[in-house]
Amino acid sequence: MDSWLIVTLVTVGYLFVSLVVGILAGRRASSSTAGYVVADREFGFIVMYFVMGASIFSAFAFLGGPGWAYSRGAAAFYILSYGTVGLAPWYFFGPRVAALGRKYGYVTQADLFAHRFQSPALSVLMAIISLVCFLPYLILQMEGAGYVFDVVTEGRIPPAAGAAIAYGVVLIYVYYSGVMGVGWTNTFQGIFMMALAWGLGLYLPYQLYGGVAPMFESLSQSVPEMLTAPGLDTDGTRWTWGGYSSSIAISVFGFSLWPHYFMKIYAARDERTLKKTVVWYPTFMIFLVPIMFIGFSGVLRFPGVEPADAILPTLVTSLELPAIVVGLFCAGALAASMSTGDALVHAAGTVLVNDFYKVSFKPDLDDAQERRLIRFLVVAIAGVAYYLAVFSSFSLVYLLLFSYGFLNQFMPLIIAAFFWPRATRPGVLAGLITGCATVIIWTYFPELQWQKIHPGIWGLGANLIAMVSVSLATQPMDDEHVLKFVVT
Amino acid sequence: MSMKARIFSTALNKIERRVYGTVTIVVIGTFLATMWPIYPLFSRIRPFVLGMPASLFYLLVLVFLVFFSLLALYRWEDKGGKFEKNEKDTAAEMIKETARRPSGHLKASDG
Repeated sequence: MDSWLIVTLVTVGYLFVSLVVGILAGRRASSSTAGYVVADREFGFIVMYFVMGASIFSAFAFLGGPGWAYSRGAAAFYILSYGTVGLAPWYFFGPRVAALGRKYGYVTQADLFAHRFQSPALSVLMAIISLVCFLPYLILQMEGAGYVFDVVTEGRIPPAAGAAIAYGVVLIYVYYSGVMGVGWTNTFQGIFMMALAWGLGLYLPYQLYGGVAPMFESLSQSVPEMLTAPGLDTDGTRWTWGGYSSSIAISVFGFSLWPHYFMKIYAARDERTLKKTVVWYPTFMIFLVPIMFIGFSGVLRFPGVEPADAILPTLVTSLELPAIVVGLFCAGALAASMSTGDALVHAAGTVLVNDFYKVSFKPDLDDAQERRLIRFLVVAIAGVAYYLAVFSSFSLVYLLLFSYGFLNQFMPLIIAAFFWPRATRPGVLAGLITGCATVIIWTYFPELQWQKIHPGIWGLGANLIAMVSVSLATQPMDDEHVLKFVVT
Repeated sequence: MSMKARIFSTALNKIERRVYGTVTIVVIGTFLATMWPIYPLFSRIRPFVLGMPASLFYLLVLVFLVFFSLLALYRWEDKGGKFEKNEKDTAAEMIKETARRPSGHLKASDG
């Protein structure tokens, strides 16, 4: 049998299992909006662990991680660093969010903040910001899927078809099963990716250098600057500590506030499950170590691969590995893309209906209608993202730069909602708007970014100042209402 | 009830405050330790540990530090029966709330 055929068969096998797991999972949830969006608040530890873990193991980690290590060396360590403490804030505010969610029936992040600050405008604003953050990531996941198909089948399946096949499967199980489909497929995909990351991460250095230690030994002699942080910048010069440190900082601040993760707080069965997920989360970082090994293994043996993200597929296809291994790699890369893309498309549909449409146009939307509309929008959003990923030359550079910067602007909301009773509606709105505006300005004028510190950090500073000063200048909110939320 | 800004509830006793405070400091400390100016002290090639440069191994040590601190906190809360207590409180709150306000958390009249 031709090797490309074996590769394709293994990949199709993986897609089929994902589809079956995704569809079967949906039969366990109720047919309400809460069933579709937050799994009736009944997710157990294993599913929670993998749902959250899959978010780290995106196409970015699987292809971008090795790409960073390959081209920028220790700069890639920042990916490992931010996940270490990224989810820890949940241990402290998560159970409070979950309890309020149960009490008032929240299903999204904006539900909570709009209620705390009595502001439908805040909900609409958060919905728009969330979508701006989601879209570039969703497009990246789709491009990643198409790319993998193209490379391993040697162009027999073009990117447009590859992305369509992978995301066709995603759409079916997300449409049919909602978050249950996302959760259970992520569990399957997560286990699969871990096995593959370790397999390739240990095999490639062994094959190319005789082991991990000899690999780093030769790297330390020829390119020592790649083995110490902050590593290299995109142009090959030394990166700044300001750039490296602020990338970690904005990722940590933004991480626990991604709307599609935040929603999963509501999905946890109880406080115990939620906290256990947070406790075990850093162990996912250990699986990023082999990902770094993969990138480093290409540095001396395969110089000059462009774009750098292609290093893993290049290694896999040029080492004459058995076709079955190439097939497993292809499936693993798709799993990385799909397990992130499914949560994004599901959350985007939910946020658009629940936080935007329902709040602005139709407060009396009933539960069955809401669920139908979310499903419809899941399909529509995937369609738009697919179009942008495949057919347009739409540049993601600015959107990607904005997304973590914008996301950080939600952080003061958490502080204000739970820890600062004096915060007011005009205060948080002013903070959010000022913060986002600052991010936009600092992104367009890089000379403002002293020491290459990320625009998100500047935005956060402006946001906090605006939130505090406007809050103090306006009437405090009603005590009785505020007491439902704040720590007393 | 006072409406001051606070991080930990006044309902916590001295020991509880100390435990939560310590873990919070460990987490924030780890976060700072991954960045300038602390990480540059450890971001060096040698010694190699487990075949990895010290710069990479150091980050793994931090992963385990956070993991074991949170695990210890979880175990401690579990042993003290905190989860059951909180569960009961939440259930009681919910019954009160449902009786008071039957539907919808954000009504037009709220805003």
